[in-house]
Amino acid sequence: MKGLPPSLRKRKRYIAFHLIAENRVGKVELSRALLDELLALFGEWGADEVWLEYFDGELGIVGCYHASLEKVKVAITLMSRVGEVRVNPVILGVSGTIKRCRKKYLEVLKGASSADGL
Amino acid sequence: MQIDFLRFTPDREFLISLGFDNAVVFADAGVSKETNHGYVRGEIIRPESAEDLRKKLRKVSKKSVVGVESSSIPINREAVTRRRVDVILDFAGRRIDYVTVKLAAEKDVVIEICLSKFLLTRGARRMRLLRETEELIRIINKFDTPFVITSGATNIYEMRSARQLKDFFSFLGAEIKKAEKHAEILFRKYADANFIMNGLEIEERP
Repeated sequence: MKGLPPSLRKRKRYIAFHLIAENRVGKVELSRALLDELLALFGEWGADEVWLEYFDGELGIVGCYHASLEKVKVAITLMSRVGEVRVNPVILGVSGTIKRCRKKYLEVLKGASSADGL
Repeated sequence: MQIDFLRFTPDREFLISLGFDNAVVFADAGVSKETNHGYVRGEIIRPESAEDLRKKLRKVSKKSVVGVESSSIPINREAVTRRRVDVILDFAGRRIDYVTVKLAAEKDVVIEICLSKFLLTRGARRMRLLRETEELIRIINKFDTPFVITSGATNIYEMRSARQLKDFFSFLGAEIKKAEKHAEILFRKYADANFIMNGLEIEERP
């Protein structure tokens, strides 16, 4: 619903993840696979409370509401295939804003090297 | 200390990037005799009967963690009474009952609960596995049975980070701190020469 006062808006959470995949995976396929996993595990109630905010083929951010965070984390953990491609989604962390999520988890990884211990 | 139990030998850097400190790598008994990458070696025994279990246990190495993998309730029950057995390994077809869990608490045998079985199954089968695992965790909590939460992976796509494993199994009701403690005890029993038993270790050797 539009125009809700801040106190009535649902709190959001952003989950940063790193997708290790056999082959390249697209944003649409990944989003569909995540939704399928949520539907299979928890049914239709609350399954629309998750969206893929950003995905560059390797690193990504999944948005969800605070109340469904645990369920979304379970669904991401149990996602083993996107289409026919085997994947390993590694959750990097959870943040309250997209800006902080990018800065804390994704930008750190992009500039990282094993020599730095990252 | 974060320890994972695996069925293959992963790259050390990759394991550390997932938040684990070390791993116990299980292979079929008698297949591999050398330790790789500093991991603790584990041997899997797949007995066909209680008699076969006793026979196979006589041949296992003293330096490796011994795990029994069976889909038979009587064999798993026999396995927890054997001193040489360290862990009852998990897979999609494992069957374990109330009495075995209670006996495992008395005999100090660890029960493994792995994630890979949920990744390899879908639909009704996974639904049943989730319910059974939730029930098993409830009995484990009741008797304070030693247990470990692991990925049980056979390849890198079945591995998950330590944080994800904890989140997933705490969602099913597991007491994570206890699982970590039991994994560390089992690991140190084979990896640390100064470790004698839980709460008793050599501080300094002359």
